[in-house]
Amino acid sequence: METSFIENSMENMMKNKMKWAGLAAATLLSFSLVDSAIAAPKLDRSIKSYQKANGVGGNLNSIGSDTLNNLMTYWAEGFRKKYPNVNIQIEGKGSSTAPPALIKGTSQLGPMSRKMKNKELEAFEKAHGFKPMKVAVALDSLAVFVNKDNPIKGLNLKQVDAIFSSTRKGGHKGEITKWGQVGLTGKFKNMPVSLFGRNSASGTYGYFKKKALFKGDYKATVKEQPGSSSVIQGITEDVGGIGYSGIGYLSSGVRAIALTKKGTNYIEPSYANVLSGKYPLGRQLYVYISKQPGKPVDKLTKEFLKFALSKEGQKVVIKDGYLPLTGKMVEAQLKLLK
Amino acid sequence: MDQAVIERNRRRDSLARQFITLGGVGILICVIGILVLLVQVTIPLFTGAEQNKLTTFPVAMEKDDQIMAVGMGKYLEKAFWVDQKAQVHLLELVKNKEVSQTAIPGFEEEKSLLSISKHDNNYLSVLAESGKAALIEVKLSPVFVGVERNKREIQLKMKSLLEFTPSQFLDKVVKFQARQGEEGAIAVALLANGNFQVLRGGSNAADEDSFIEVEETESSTQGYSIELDSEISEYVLDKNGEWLIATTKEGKLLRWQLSEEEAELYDDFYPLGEGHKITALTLVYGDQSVAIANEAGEVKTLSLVRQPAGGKRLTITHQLTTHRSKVSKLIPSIRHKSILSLDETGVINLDHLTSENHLLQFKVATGVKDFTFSGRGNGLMVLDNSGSLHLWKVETAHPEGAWKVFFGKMLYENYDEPEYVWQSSSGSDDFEAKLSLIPLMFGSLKGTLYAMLFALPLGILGGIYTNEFAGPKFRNIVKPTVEITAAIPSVIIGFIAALWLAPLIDINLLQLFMFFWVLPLGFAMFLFLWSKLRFIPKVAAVEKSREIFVIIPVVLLLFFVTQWITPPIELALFDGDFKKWILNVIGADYDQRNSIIIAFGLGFIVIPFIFTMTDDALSNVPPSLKAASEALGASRWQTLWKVLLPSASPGLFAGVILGMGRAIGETMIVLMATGNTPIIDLSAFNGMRTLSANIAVEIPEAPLDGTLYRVLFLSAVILFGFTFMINSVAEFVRSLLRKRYAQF
Repeated sequence: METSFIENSMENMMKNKMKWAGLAAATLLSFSLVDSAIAAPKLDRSIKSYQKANGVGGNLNSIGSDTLNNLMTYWAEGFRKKYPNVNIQIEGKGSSTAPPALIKGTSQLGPMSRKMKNKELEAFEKAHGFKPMKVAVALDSLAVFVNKDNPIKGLNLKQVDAIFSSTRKGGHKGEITKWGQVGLTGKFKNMPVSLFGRNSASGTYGYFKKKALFKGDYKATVKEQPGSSSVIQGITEDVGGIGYSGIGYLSSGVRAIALTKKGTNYIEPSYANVLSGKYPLGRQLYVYISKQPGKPVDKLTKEFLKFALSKEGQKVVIKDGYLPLTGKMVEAQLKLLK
Repeated sequence: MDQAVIERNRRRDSLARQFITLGGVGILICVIGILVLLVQVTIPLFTGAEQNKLTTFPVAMEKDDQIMAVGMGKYLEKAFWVDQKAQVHLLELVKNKEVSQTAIPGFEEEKSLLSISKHDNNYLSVLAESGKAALIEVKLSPVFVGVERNKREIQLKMKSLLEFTPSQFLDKVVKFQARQGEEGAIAVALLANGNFQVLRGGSNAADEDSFIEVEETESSTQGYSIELDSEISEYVLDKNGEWLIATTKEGKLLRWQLSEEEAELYDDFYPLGEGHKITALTLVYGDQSVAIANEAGEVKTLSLVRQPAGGKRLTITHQLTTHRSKVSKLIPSIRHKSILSLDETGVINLDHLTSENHLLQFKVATGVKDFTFSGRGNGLMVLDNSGSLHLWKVETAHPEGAWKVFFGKMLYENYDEPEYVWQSSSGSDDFEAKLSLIPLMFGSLKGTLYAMLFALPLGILGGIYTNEFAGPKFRNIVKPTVEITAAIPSVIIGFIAALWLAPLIDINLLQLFMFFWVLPLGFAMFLFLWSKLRFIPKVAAVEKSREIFVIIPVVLLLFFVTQWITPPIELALFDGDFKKWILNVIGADYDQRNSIIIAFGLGFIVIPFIFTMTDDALSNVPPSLKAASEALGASRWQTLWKVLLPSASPGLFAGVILGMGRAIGETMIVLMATGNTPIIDLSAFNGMRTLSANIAVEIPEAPLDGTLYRVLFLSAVILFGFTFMINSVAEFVRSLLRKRYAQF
C-alpha cells in the first residue's frame, strides 16, 4: 500500500494526459446551429465546381485549429463522398498544435486561425529546409459574444480591451468590470462582467490578443476554455458573460455584438463589412501544408484543398457559419497550389 | 517436521522475499527514473548562452570607403555593408568574399550619404547629403533556383517603403529615422534648426493579417514640427508611430505621444539623475521598453508604469549588467527581449530584460566600427576599424529562464507593479512571456483544499456510519457502489460539473447556502422530536441500523423547505439578488466556474478513497476490542470515539492523504469545470488554474525543447514534489500514530 501512493498519483497524471486527447472531441458537441440574425453571405459566382481527379486515395491527417475543426470535418465528409477510399483524421485542439505536427510530419494539413509566428516558421524551416505554404480557405469575423438577454448595442475596441485586458494598452481610462460601465441599465447595471476565452493554444486567443488587446495581456480572470463551443456554452449559461470565438460558433443562446475601432459607430460582423475591412476583427483562416519548392503538392493534399476552394467547399463554409472567400481570393489560392 | 518440507518452505520463502524485494526496488527505480527524466528536461532552463567564433576576415574595400551600416541575414550565410556612396555590398560569409554590389533604390544618383540607422535588423533609414531620405527594407531571403528549383540561394532584395525629397523638409536634415508600422510608415527628422519634423506616409502593406487590398497613400504630408529647447543626442520612435523618445546632451529623457496633427510631451526628466549623461539609447524588441546606458557603464531599461497620480510615465524597470567603461552602443535582439551592449573597450554584454539574466560577456574587438545581431539572434557580426569582419554564432536557448522569473514577483512591461503572472504565450513574436509558477501552485493547493473541505467530512463520516452503524446488508450494497464511483472517468465528472452543475449552482446559489443552515437546524429539531418518541418500542427499533430510512425523507423534506423559503428570504435579506450582495458586502466577485463546483467535482473523486480507507481501517480493528468495550457498557458512540477511532487513526489518515494526493494531481475536472484562471485568491466564489490542468492545456502547443516545454516540465517536477512531500509526511505521521496506538 505504502509504496503505491506516489505511483498511483503519477499514474493518474499520465492517464489524465491521455484523456485530454479525447476532450476536444467530447467538447465539440454540435453547438453550431446558426442564428439567422445575420444574413447568410452569398457565394461568388466565379468560384468553380469541383472536378473529380483520378487516382486519389490514401490517408490524410489534419491537426490544428479548433475554430476550423467543424469546417474541416464537413470538408472531409464531402471529400470522402467523392473519394470513398480516402481516410481522413481530424484533430482540433488549437492552432498552435498545427506547426509541431507539420514539423514532425504527423499531419499533412495544418489548419490555423492565425498566421504562423516567426519562431514556428523557423522551426519548420530548420526541420525541412524550406518554409511551409499557407493557403487561405475561408474568412471569419472573429466575434465578441454576449448572452442573448444582454441588450448591449456594441463596443469599441478600447472598451473590449478594458474588459479583457489587465494592461489596457488601448488606452481606456479605467478597468471595466461591470456592465453598467458600458452604459447598460436596469439589472445589468451592477452585474459583473464574466469573461470567457480560449486557451493559449488557440489561434483565436492569439489573434484577439493582438488585435483587440493591442498586444496587451489578458486578465487572469478570463476563464480559459478548451474549445470554442465551451466558450459559447459558458456565455449561454451566464447572463453577465462575454467571450470571443469564430463567428461559426454562433448559436441561439448568444449574440455577436457589433464592434468598431473607436467611437460609437458600431459595425455588424457581416460579410460585406468583413470584406470591406470595416469590421475590425475580420481575418482569414488558413491551412498550412508542407510543399517542397520545385515539387508539386502531394496529390491527395492538393485535391483536398482544391475541394475546399471549390463551389461545394465554399458552400460548406457558409453552412458552417463562416464567410466564403471571394472569387479573386480563391483564384489566388488555387494558383499557389499549381 | 520433515526436514525436506522445512527446507522446501525455506526455499520458497527466500524466493518470495527476493521476488518482492525485486518488485519494490523496481518501483523505486521507476519513480526515481521519472524524477530524473523530469529534472533532466528542466535543467537547460537554467544554463546560459554560448558563443562560438565562426570566422574573421578583412572586408575588401577601397581606401576611401566608409562603412555606413552592416547587416546580416538570419541564416548566417550572407551579410551586407553599405558604403557612403549608397552601394550595398553583399558578402558571402562562408567563402569570405563579396558577391555583388547594388545601389540603394532611389539613391543611385546620390554622391554621398550622411547617415544610416538600422531597425528590426534590416530596415534602413537612409539620409543622403543632398537631403534626400528614405526607409529601405533589405531582405536576405532564400530563393530556390535552377531548372528543378531545388538549388537554394540567398538573394538580396531592397524595397523603398517611404521616400522624401529635400523640399519636403522644413530645414536641412541632420538625422533621419523612419519605421514601417501596420497602418503606414512614420518618419521623424532632426533638423538643423534644432527641431523635430514628424512625417507620415507609405502604405499599410506591413499589416500582415490584412487581406484587404493595399491602399497606397501619398508619401507624404509635411507633417508638423516639434520645437525643442535642448540639444538632442539620440532618438528612437516606435513601430506604430505613437511614441518618440529622445535623449538630450545633458542627460534628459523626453517622450512625446505622436498623433496625426501634433505631439504631446509626456516625459521630461533625468532618468539617471541630473548631470549624468546618457550615452546610448535603444528600443527593446516589441517597442514597449527603452534601454539607456551611461558613462559609468550602467545599462537600464525603462517602460511605461501607471503613476499613483494617474497617467503613465517612463520608469526604470530593470538594471542590467554594468560595464567597466562607458557604453557606446546598445542594440536590441529582434528574437527576444535581450539587449546587446558594447562598451568602449570592445566588450559586449548580452542581457535579458525580464529575467535580468546575464547571458554573455566577451571581448569582440578593439575599435568596433559597427556591429549587428542576426534576425534570429543566433549570430553576431562585428566590423572593426581596421576593416576586419568577425562573426560569432550565439546560442541563447532559454534567456528567460531564472528562479526569480518562476517564483518571484516580476515587473513586466505595461504592468504597474511587480506581480505573479502566468501568461505563457501569444500570437505574436514580440511577447514578453510571463512564467510565474506561483499562481499555478496556489491553484493546485486551493483546489485540493476545497475538495478536502467537502470530501473529508463526507468520506470519513460516511465510512464510519457504513461500518459501525448500518447493517451488513446496507454495507454490502453501499461500499461497492461508492467504490465503483471511483472508476468513473474524471472527464465525465468534469463535463457534468461544467455543463450541468455550474449553471445549476449559479441559479440556486442562495439555496445551497440556505441548505447548509436549514439542514443542521432542521435535523436538530428532528432529533429532539425523536428523543421524545423513543419510548415507543417500534420507533426505538429503527435505531438498530435502519436510521437511514428515516433520515432520507427528513433530508428530502428539509430540501423542499429550503426551496420554499429561499425566494422570500433572498428578497427580504439580500435585496432579491444574493450574488450582488456577495459582491457588495463580502467584496468577492462571483464567478460561475468557482471553487464550489470544484469542491463537488473533485470531492466526488476523492470521497471513495477516504470512504473505503475509513471503512477498512475500522474493520481492521480487532473485534475483541469492540466487544470488550460494549461489554463494559459503552454506547456505540463511546466505543467508536474512545476505542475504535484511535486504533483506526493511522488507516484513516492514510485515506485522507491518499485522497489529497489524488486531488492535487487531478486534471480533467479542474480543466473543464474551472475557468483555468491563474489568479491568487482564496475566495470560494472564483476559480483557479492548477499545475496539472496547466500542463494538459499547454503541452500540445509547446514546441519540443522550447522554453514553455521545459517550464511545463518544471511544473511537473513541482507537482511530483508536492505528492512526494504529502506522502512522506503522511507516512511519518502514520508511523507515529501506529506507535502510539499499537498497544490496542
